[in-house]
Amino acid sequence: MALLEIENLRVMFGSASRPLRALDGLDLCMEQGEVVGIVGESGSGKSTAGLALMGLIDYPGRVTARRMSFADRDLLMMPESERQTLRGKDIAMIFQDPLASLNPCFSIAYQLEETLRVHQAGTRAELRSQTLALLRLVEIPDAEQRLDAYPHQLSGGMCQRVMLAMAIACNPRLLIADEPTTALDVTVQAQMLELLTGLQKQRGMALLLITHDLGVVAQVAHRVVVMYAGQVMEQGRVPDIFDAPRHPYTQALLASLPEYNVGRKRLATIPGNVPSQHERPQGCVLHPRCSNAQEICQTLVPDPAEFPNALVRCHFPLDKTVSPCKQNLTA
Amino acid sequence: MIMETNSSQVLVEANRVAKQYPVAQGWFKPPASLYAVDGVSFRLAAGKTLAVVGESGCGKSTLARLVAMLEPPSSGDLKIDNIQIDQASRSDLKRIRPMVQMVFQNPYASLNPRKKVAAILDEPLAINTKLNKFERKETGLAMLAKVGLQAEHYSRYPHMFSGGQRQRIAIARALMLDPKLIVADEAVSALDVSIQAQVLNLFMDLQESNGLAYLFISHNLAVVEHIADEVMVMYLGKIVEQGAKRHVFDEPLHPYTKALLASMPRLTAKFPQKRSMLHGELPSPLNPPPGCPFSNRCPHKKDACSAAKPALQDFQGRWVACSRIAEIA
Repeated sequence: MALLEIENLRVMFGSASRPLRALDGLDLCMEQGEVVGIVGESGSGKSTAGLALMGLIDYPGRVTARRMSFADRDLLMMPESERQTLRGKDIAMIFQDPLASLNPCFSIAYQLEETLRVHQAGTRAELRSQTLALLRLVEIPDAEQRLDAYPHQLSGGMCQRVMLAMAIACNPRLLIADEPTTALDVTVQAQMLELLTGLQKQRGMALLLITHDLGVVAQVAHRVVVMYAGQVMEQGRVPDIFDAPRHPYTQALLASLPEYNVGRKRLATIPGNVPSQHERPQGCVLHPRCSNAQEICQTLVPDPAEFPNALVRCHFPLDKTVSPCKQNLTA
Repeated sequence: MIMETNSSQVLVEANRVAKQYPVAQGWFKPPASLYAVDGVSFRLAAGKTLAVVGESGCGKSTLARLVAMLEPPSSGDLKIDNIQIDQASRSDLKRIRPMVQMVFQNPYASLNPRKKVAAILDEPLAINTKLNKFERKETGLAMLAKVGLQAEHYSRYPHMFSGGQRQRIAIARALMLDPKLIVADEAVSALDVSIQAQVLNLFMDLQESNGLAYLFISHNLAVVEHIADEVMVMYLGKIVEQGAKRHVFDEPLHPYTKALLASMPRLTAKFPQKRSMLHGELPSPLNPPPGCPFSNRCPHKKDACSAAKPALQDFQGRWVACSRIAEIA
């Protein structure tokens, strides 16, 4: 039995007559202890997916799904009070900007204890010692002194560690990390990723990593979901997708990275821009920017097609053997 | 101290340039001094790209502001086109300023939302040239075409464009006075991957057609590896390593450069992999460690490292600031 099962998850904003599809049909299945990365450009709906899983999409947003269950419990049908006990305990989330997600008016210890207070009982001394242990777990130096510090007294990297401590305080089974390292420097990002994957393995958590950085996904995730304009273009195992993507978008996205263009001056590009929510094209959302687009792509939305270990939403998926990415990378 | 460049024309020459800011400590305490840039020397030849990399707070943006003449250096010599900036006459400065233009990180903030593209592109010409209205419009339209935008975009407002298009407008604005040097401060960092490739290609095309030199500031090492001719690695306001791009990326010498490159998430890496070599974070520039600024995070630290600041020395054709470089290289 999978930990998380999602079928055809949609999130819509705007009026009923003119809906804006922020997320348009996400299928995702996660096992206990698995790391799945969601990548995409801005506006692809990757953060919306994370928020929908947490149940943080408010009116006027509408969340629908054919099936959305966590540990065999239906997330959409359960009452809000039950959802509230799940949120922060079994499903936890960390956000991109740690300084904006911590409350500047309260100390680190208070904010960490709050999470514990909501989900479990304990005396003040117990809570404090648990908080201290959490800070030590996320490798914050001089943890005793940092307990009563306020967020502005800590650096961005330290604040993100505090956020992580808060998220894992109640031993969640699923951790959603939305761009956890985007605001950090590369050296601090490397430390943070190591800490995150270390804790994930040690506790057997499932980790859903939302990022725009393909390098981060390649290093951390087992499986990857590639999103574009609210739709899943391709999902599959990391080595398969990075070596030989089947979807033209994944292929073009990888080809536009400097890493895949070693020894060449000009970078391969994807012409045009990501369409805004108001101007999603008919048919396949990618077709105006796709080099392989044909007539059928302009009218008919492709259904996700199944391949061994992969799902691809394209009328003309690429043949694995002719994908040029791998050669450029090793050249 | 200065890197020899073979090219005939040196556009920017910096010799021990420093920028110090006073930082208030409280009502009754004297202000502390913070060295954002501390004794930086380099040469940038016409038509070349010098990339500056480092963590946030290492002084790369301050260096950009110094070279763009937005702020005067506190000490040291900065020469642009062979003219010493702090002693230049008004007429000399008027001649040099159009030669150095800047492109900023966030195209959503760097374009005036109340001005049409027409006015944005017109202004530099109206102030600095004697062209009449029609000639200015013609130049503006030609520039739009050059950066890959259409003539109909000329009479639109910035909010009507996407991020990538806005960055093209910012680049067009920087190019209006036919500069020789573009200071690009994180110019592609705010853009999506597919758009980033388009803008990087534009930068490289313009370098070829206009002979532009770039001072390219970025924290994205993959981008730097693609675009730079020479790389300068900064740490707490100082240069720790400087040399040709291929040398620095293929065989980094300074422990900090090594750690920085090892931290870079690589697409080829196999899972799982030991990534971070560095512990801790950048110390406060108000209170840098004694001696070598990197000593508190360095895996090769010895007691001698805290005693004296290592000078930038020539080592295997590169400039490296590490007193133990001969032992650890």
